[in-house]
Amino acid sequence: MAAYRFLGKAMSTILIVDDSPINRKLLVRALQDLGYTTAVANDGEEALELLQANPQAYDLVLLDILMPRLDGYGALAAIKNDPLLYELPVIMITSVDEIDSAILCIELGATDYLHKPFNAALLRARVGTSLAAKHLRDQERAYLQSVARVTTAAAEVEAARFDPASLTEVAERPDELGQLARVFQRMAHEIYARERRLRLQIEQLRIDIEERQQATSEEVTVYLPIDRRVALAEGRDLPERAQGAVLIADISGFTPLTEALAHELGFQRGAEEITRQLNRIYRTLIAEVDTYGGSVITFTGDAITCWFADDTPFAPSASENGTARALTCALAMQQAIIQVGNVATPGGLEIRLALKVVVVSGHVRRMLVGDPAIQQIEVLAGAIMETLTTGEHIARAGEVLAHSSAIEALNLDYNGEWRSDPVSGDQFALVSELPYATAAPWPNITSASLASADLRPWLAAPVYERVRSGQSAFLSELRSVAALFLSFSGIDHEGDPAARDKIDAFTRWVQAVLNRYNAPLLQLTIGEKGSFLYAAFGAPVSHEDAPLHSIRAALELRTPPPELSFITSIHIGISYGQTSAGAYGGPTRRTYGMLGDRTNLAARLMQYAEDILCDDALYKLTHPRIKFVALPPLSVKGKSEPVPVYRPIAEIAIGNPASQIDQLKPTLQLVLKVASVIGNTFSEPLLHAVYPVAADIPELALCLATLSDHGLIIPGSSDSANPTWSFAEASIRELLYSRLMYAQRRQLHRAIAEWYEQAYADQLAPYAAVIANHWAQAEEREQAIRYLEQAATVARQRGDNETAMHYLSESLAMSNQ
Amino acid sequence: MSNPSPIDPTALETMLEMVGGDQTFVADLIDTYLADSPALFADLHKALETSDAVLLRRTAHTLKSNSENFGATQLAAIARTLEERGKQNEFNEVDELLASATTEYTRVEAALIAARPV
Repeated sequence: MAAYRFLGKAMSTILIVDDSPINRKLLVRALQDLGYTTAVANDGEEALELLQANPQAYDLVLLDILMPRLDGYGALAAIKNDPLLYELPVIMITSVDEIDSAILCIELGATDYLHKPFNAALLRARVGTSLAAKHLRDQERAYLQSVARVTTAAAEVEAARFDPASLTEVAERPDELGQLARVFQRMAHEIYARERRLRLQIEQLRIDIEERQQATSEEVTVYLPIDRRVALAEGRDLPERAQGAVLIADISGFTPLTEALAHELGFQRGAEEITRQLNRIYRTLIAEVDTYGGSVITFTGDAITCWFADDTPFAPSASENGTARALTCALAMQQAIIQVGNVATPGGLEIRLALKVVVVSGHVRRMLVGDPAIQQIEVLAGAIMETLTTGEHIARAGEVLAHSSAIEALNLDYNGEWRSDPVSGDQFALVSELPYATAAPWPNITSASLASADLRPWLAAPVYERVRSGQSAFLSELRSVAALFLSFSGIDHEGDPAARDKIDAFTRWVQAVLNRYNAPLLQLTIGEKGSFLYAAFGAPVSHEDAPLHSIRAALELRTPPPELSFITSIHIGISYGQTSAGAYGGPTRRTYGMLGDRTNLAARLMQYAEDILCDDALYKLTHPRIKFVALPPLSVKGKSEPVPVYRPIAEIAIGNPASQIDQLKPTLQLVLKVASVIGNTFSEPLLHAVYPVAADIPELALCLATLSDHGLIIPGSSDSANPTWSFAEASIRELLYSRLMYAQRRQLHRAIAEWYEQAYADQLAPYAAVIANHWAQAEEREQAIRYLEQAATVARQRGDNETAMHYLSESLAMSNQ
Repeated sequence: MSNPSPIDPTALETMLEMVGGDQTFVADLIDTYLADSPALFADLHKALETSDAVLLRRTAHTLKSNSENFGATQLAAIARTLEERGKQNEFNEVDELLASATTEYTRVEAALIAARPV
């Protein structure tokens, strides 16, 4: 049954209803001659039977009035009362003397009438007119039905229950509506295919992520010291005070290796390689610590501090107390580094990594401090730690130094060389051989035995999330990071019974300040002579305003609140630069930390700071917003040239940046607005390309310099081919962006997306996410979805399934809009 | 009443025009008319005999309608009168009317046979 018919006589079927064979014959012949298809009925009843059996088959009825059985009136009334037939046109056949009847019939719904004897011209005209009207109505109805179907389809697509087949009939129309239906059908097909594809990918990713989470919740546990892990799994508490030995293993030779690799491979690959080398050494050392029943408590740059408790299930006899095992471990470490410490660089350099190990015996305090909601931190404290630091200073590469306390604990008759510290008078024995001590292996702790609620407080939230979602590989990255080192004193760790509570209170306050900047506290070291902590801004979660945040945080941290007045002499060093941030350690013990020249610089600056010192990188990035005092360049350890240093004093109240911007020339305002669409950091060539006022373009460089003088933007990369700038603060960018008209934004985002497509035509993949964002803002959904999918693929390739999932979900949401 | 031709010659022309000048078809229609008419007259007589007004009306209508097609206007006029009688269930003068219709039909028949193409 065709719902839609096109004008055409051959397609029109006329039913002739007349009891007179002569009339029937005459009409059949005449109408066939005109090209119509005909059917006949002898009376009204027969006519109704035909019509009702196939209501769509006829286009017109020629109906005689006076007929046996059912006459024309009755047949007409029946047709007009039938919902399937009432639109069928009926022409009454009348005699000249039946004009009144004809009029009555028209009142009853007949379309027209024809006189007998028939006149060829009249017949042709009336039949033609009636059929044309009918076809017009049919077309109109079919059109409306088709429109309704397309509308329904649109609603169904929206409700995600569209069946593309439902439009097949409409799509057969040769007119615009058919075209629309075809386009719609094709689009719907594409959208459906895409959604199916996206759903499948998301499903697959979800499985991958779940599997990886399963595997990596075990990975989370390695961020805890192994004895802490075992205690947690067995539901025990580790005693805060313990007897045993501390061991520090300090790797030397990393600085020349870092320099050589950076020189040979460039900064990025050099940093990756140094991380790989460090982890290779750590793996070996940690394996030894595990073997002798020790536990790595902290990582400090290229050193690890370990605890060997006397009282463990692994110390069955006095000869194998913590000290014995620590010293056996120390010697084993030295043996191992001979095997693994030789590094051949790709450039052919041979660099020897060496180790110095110090062991001190006694009692230690293992304090848990910090806000568990942010991160719980374990610190070793006590006089034993001071002695350890002393030993570390006087030890040389390749040596194992055992403090006199360790020799006593071993009950050994030592006749070898002693070395003493002139300041403290501490005596250290240079140990080279020992009776061999052993330990039972640590029990294997699986993720199943540790609840995530137990694990979560041990890692900074952003680190935890990434490790937990299987992205620990993704944690390792070269980042621009501000490192903040803060030293403090004022707590008597040995004598003050409230020492732990005081450290805890101070740590929580520091964490609260840092948390506002999403900066994790990476390290806390407690010592009688000096305690310090270390935080990073811009990793693992990058932030455009990390430099400014680090200085703001420093300015806050400089003055603890009155309730922490016991804290004295706070010194802060901050530096900013490329840092290799990542997970360091071995398969059984790991930490999240930073490696880099700039990190070391911050630690040095802390030592020289009156209150706060920062490097020139931070000065350059933040001086429009921070009042600095430039100090004479400082000669620091590890730097051949004196380094420029600055002391931040306070944040400059620039008042309302809005009013500052308001006072700028319109051109400058426009430059900022256009830049705000590009991003917090924007490249000058891109700004040129999309800047809408051609007349201003020659002045753009000057405009940027002026804006930089106003402190609104900061020069970035010095690459002369592609100079970049950044907004001095993200909020300035947000303000300008918010002032753009909606249509302007869309237009600019589109231009930017197109620029990226052209500029990076041969390697779009790394820019897919950026381009997707611009297309999305330009409201070009299809384009945005396409690039989001590409970005997801890129993220997946580098193993970042979470991000891939995020992109895919975003494109699915966009697709469903 | 004078006696001109019982059929209007333009009627046949109109009919020919209707069927695209197909003379055979018109001849065939004439044959049909001539073949069917005796039965109609038989029905008219029967209606008169049995005073069946419905049969009278319908048969007279058919005769009228058929005759009109061939331009047999006089015969059609008599048939219309008969039809009126049937409609009004009035058999007054019906036998006379039937007789004159029979007479007129004889003239029509002759004229049609003469006018019949081929």
